[in-house]
Amino acid sequence: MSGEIEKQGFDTGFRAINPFTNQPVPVWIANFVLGEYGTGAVMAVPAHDQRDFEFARKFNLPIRVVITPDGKPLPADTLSEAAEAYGTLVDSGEYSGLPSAEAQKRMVASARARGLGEATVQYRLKDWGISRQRYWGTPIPMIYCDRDGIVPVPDDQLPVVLPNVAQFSGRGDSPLAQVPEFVNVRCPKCGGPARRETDTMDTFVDSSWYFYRFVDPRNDGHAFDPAAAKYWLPVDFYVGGVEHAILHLIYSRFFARVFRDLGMVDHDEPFAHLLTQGMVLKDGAVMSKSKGNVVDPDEMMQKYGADALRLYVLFVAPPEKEVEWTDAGLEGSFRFLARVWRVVDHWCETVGGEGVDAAGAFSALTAAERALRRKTHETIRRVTADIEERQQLNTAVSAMMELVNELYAFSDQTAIGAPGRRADEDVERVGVMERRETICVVREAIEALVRMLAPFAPHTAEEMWQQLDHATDLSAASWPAYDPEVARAEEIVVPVQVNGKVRSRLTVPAEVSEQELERLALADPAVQTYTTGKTVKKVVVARGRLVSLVVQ
Amino acid sequence: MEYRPQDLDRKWQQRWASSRAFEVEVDPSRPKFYCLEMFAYPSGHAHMGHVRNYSIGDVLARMKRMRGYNVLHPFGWDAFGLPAENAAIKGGLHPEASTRGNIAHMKGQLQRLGISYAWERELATCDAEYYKWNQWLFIRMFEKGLAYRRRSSVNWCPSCQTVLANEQVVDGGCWRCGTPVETRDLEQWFFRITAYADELLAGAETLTRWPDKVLTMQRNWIGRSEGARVQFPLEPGSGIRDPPSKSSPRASIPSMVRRSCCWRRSTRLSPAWRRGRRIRRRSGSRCRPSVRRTGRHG
Repeated sequence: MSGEIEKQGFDTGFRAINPFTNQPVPVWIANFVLGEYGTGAVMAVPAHDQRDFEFARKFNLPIRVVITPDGKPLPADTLSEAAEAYGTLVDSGEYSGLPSAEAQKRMVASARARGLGEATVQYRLKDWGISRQRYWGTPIPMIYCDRDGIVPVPDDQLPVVLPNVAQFSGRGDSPLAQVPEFVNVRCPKCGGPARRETDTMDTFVDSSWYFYRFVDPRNDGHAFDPAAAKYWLPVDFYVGGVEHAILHLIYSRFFARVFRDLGMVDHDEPFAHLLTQGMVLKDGAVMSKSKGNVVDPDEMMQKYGADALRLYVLFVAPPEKEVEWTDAGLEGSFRFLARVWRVVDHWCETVGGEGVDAAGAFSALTAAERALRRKTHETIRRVTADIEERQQLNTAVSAMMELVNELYAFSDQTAIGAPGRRADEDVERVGVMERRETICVVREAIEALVRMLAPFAPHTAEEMWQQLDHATDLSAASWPAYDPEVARAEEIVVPVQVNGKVRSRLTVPAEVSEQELERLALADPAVQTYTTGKTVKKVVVARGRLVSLVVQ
Repeated sequence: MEYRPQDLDRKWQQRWASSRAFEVEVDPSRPKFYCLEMFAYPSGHAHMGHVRNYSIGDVLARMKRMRGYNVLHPFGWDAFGLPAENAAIKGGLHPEASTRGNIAHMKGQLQRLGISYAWERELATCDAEYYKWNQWLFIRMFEKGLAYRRRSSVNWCPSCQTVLANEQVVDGGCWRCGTPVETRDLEQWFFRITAYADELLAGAETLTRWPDKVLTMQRNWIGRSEGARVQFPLEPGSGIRDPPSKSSPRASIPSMVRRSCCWRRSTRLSPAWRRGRRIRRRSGSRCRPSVRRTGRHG
């Protein structure tokens, strides 16, 4: 973190006595020791702490190895860096030979017994100072009375409303201190003259609990209804920038526990799942006005529509990675949506509505129809998992692109054909009838595609859904169901002959390669009965039909 | 029919709003899904980072809705803060006016993006109906001893003219403007977050769906270490005898060190030093190598 600060030191000339060895230790002032941490003084162990090691080397201070991996002494000048691992103590008097952890316990016990010290736990974390000498924040609801001291504003007098301030000077004291009507107040206890607190709260207070207010945002009697919080919380999916890793995200976890201890929520952790998205860069840098590399979302939406912009930022990379903006990428997303649009537009008259009864239609499919169905269900499986389990939204889009390619290739082999033919050709095809099976398979593919596209490109998807003759909106439709039976690669049975006689049958995927078939045939136990101890002279693979072995 | 998305955007955004498509109520008969993107500081204009953030959230929200979940997907505004006030100091609009204007503009942008928010739940932290509950909570914390006031040396940003929490000091500079941070003595209110330090650490172990990087940063920030506080007597007669030579220029000693040890007055070192200052001996701090340890920078 601040490891780059050059270590500096000053020898006080004092020497302290190490109570465990009774040997003198030089006392230095150093800039890498935190003044507010503990007493502000630490016992340096240069052989076993890298920062102390660097300091000792720089100022030529003695380095003593007191821990080694095997308990054998080690000269300090062999060290090129601190040996920070636990091990066995050496050169440590009565503690030599003990494992580090055991030595710690005994040394603490000894210090305590001799009245020299005790075990302590230290935190780097400090209490959170929330006073700000600023105007634009929440007034701190406290009153100072000469008689009663610090008195909270009574609950029935909340909120303490931020008064209007006309002039902002920018001086270091609180702007509210310049509003006498605000400052001067009666003490709620004694009724005497008193003064309001004029600082406002750190705005991180505001953002540490807003997710609770959302469950019941108009409640004017309570911060929120605990029953509503019990139903909605914790947040199931929280997305934001990693720059909030230790500010907002630690304060919110603190406030969750405060609300818990007030009996208002029943959980400890407010955010079950956190995703920190990467930044959007342009020319390798964060977009900023001063750098002149800002891409305006409104301009892009006017040019390409909201959906192309959304799809682009989702497709360009996994959500947690940084991305480099390119106009070409956005255009690519636009072209993909237009391609989906055309294939849906092309088929919607034929497959839309309930004109064709799907019952039983999937029982007598051609190989091509079966392949498209398989692709549809495989895509549903992939997109569902990519969103729900892995949040790899970019690969979800890739999967949908593959399905669109298959739809185009399939369409090309049908009577209606693929979109993009010349208009007169389309006219010639008016009245062309498709097989019922084809219509059902295409409808299934298109409707699944449109539904899966809805979270990414909702406007385009809604319009296509309507074109497909659905009376209800897509936003109220359900997610496509995945059928593992359909998605499973088709299997075929291949007979294996040995010297002209069928000795076994292999069940394999339809797309199996010749090499794989040969390997499977030779590994088959039934086949091996006839090949063991003999030489396989020849293997003939007729893919999809037969494997023939000649043995001697 | 040609693909003309601009017409579709408007049509469907109006339709979703009029059908209140994304407004939800508590419904114990259905599984819930609370999808949240970090609410926005109303700077004035949505940028591509916002677009990306909200598009990611919207995919989850819309998908889960289609999966049958009762999805809460709200949005609001982290509306208080320095930029609006600084603009007013430079002669710009009153913070209230600029903030409200910025919110209206950015809300329009997000609506044009078609994010499926339950806009009826929109809130802004500068609404008195919201910050009233900041105040209410502050008083509860005061009653429980979790909010307290003390005079303390605080981090001060001379450019922003305000105090910064430790968390807001990044590499010695202000998290917002980078100006080197100074210290000042002021009466300040504090929240006793340290009372929950161990709990925050233990809780981090349960956050299995958080990025490791964030958890590591939080553990380091809390920075728990076990050690011992041990008294070291001073060796009698030791101490500064010789003034530093001219070859050790004073300017090379950082200001922090100069303040805590003024060697020109070496004969009047603070009583703590003469008594034999209690020196902490760190022992058990090596148990978690990824954690920043004990009392040192770097």
